[in-house]
Amino acid sequence: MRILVIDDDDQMRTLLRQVMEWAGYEVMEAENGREGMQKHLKQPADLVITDLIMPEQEGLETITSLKKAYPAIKIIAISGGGRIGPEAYLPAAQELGADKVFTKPFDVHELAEAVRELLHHG
Amino acid sequence: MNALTLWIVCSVLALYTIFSVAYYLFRLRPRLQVHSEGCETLQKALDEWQCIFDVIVDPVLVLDSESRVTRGNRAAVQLLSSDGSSLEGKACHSLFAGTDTPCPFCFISSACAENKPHCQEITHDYLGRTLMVNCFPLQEEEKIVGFVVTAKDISHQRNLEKQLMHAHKMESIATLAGGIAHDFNNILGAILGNTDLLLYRIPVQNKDGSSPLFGPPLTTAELIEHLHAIKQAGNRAKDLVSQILAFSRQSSHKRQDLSIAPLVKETCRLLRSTLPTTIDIKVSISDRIDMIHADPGQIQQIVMQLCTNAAQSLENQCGTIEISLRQTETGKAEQHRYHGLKPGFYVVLTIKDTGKGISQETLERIFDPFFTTREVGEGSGMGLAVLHGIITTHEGVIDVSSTLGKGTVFTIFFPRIAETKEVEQQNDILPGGDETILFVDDEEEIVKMRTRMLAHLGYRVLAADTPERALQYFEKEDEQIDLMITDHTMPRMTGIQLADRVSRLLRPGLPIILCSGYSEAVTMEEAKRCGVHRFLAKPVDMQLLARAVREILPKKRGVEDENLGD
Repeated sequence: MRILVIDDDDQMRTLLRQVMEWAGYEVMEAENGREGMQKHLKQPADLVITDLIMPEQEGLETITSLKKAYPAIKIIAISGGGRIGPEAYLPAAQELGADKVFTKPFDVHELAEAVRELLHHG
Repeated sequence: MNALTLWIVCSVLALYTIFSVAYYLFRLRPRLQVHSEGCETLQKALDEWQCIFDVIVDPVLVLDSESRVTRGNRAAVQLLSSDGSSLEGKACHSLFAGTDTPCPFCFISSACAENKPHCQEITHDYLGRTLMVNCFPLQEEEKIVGFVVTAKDISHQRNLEKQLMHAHKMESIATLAGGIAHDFNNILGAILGNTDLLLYRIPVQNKDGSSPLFGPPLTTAELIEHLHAIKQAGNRAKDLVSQILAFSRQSSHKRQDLSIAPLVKETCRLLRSTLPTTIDIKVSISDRIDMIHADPGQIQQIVMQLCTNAAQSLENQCGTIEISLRQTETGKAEQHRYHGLKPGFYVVLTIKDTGKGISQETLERIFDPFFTTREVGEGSGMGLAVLHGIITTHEGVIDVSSTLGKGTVFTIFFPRIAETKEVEQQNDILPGGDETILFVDDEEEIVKMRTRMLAHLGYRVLAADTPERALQYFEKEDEQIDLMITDHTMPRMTGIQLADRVSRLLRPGLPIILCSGYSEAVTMEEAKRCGVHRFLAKPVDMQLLARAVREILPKKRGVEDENLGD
């Protein structure tokens, strides 16, 4: 199964890739929502893990576009907050269609479990 | 002559005398009256002059050609004479600076040489005041015979300005807070995430015999990759903390030789997290940017303030902010174009937005204090005035140009200092040794970690988690200690106090390294006085510590450099 990881922070993106590879998935990486959408068009992912605050195209817009074009796609939103904190962004992400949300920093095992649950039981 | 005749003669003589005197008095009266009136007028004028001289609220001194006081008004006496005694005959420098020789920055000689008034802001530590001093030469027959010096006390004004700048900086910190939290959460995410991965995957964790939760077991290459990621994240956090501290430090305002490019890049990264993502931030930095002499915190303040203003000018928070850094040599054309710009080499910071622009009327007042186009409560209107002040103290020039409906460009010129030195290439080899090091820190985890690190470099390490335990090592006469490394903030005794005690009473001359997280809490002078040889700001990098230890310890034969095996 293929996971698309979208985050503008290099270290966080690498970590997400490592966690997902460790959990046994194929991983694609993108630095922002726009690049993520392009990669998904070329090679559709089964699940998308996206950050919310990013340049070019932010996470909320990405979630909206993905869910509109691919209603069955599973999405996990993660955020470390920004001007108003993650608690303001993550509920909005859920309203727009994110299946699960995580606040940075998160437990990698919990994230891996969430991915497994969404892909295999969701 | 009988008695009667004698009386008549005497009477006539007396009367003659009286009338003569009266006559002369009568004749002279108008002349005496004129003289007396003149004296009175003169006296009155003198009294009036003295009165006016004394009611001038600023100190005024009249000096002779050798800078000695010939007159001083009441305000001058109040400022310069603690016991109210006369200032006359005293030398100017003895009154203002308490010295026997003229002040190094004295401009009386300039006023004398150029024969024109001079004005200068002087902070006199002796008086504890900042004065705006004017000096006017006094001439007689084309020769300077003295000076009139006025000194306006602007200490209060300068203090208020400092407070205002600090308050303004705190406003910027509040703006930054969201960005900082976002960055820290990413950093913490990387540290905790990589640590979790290691803990889940290292076989030794599964003592119950169970296999790792997912995937294959950890390889050495993966282990190193995770450790590097943790270290990298730690370094990011360290840099972020030092930047926040540099930005928020109240009174340092210390200018230093500064590589402005990395600082601008880092500030833009913070801005990226702070501003709405609908705003496109473009950063363009020339390959070669030389150093400037500047206060890093204030440079960040300039970038933050101008970019925040730019963001607010964008309609619906959509548009572009371009931040660019280049260097240039300016000539007469630029001098004409940018008011106050002298020909020379400059590093140029430009902040350009695609916002609604600023009208010509507003542009003319944009740097005025308290001038704002925002609603009440939306800002003090001091932002650009404060920035203008900062840039001026950096001998820089700020210019603004704008087109309504198209956007605004702020251009700032900072004088470039000598060409940037090449960054010293540091290799990964860590120098080691076999001396004995006493390591003191009240945090047990730090003691454990440092002991392991130093032991790895070949040193014999004595560990102490309290200052008292450290002192016990010195009580053993046969205990050889070559160096003490101590934390500063510890219960019951600070690192400085410990160093003072060791260097004065127990082991005079022992090399001591002090580590502290708050550099402002300890001054280098104070630390040196207490026997500290070297100061290291926490968190201390392994490379830095290894090099500092080797630099401070006397060179020994046979000490080989060791590699922190990877």
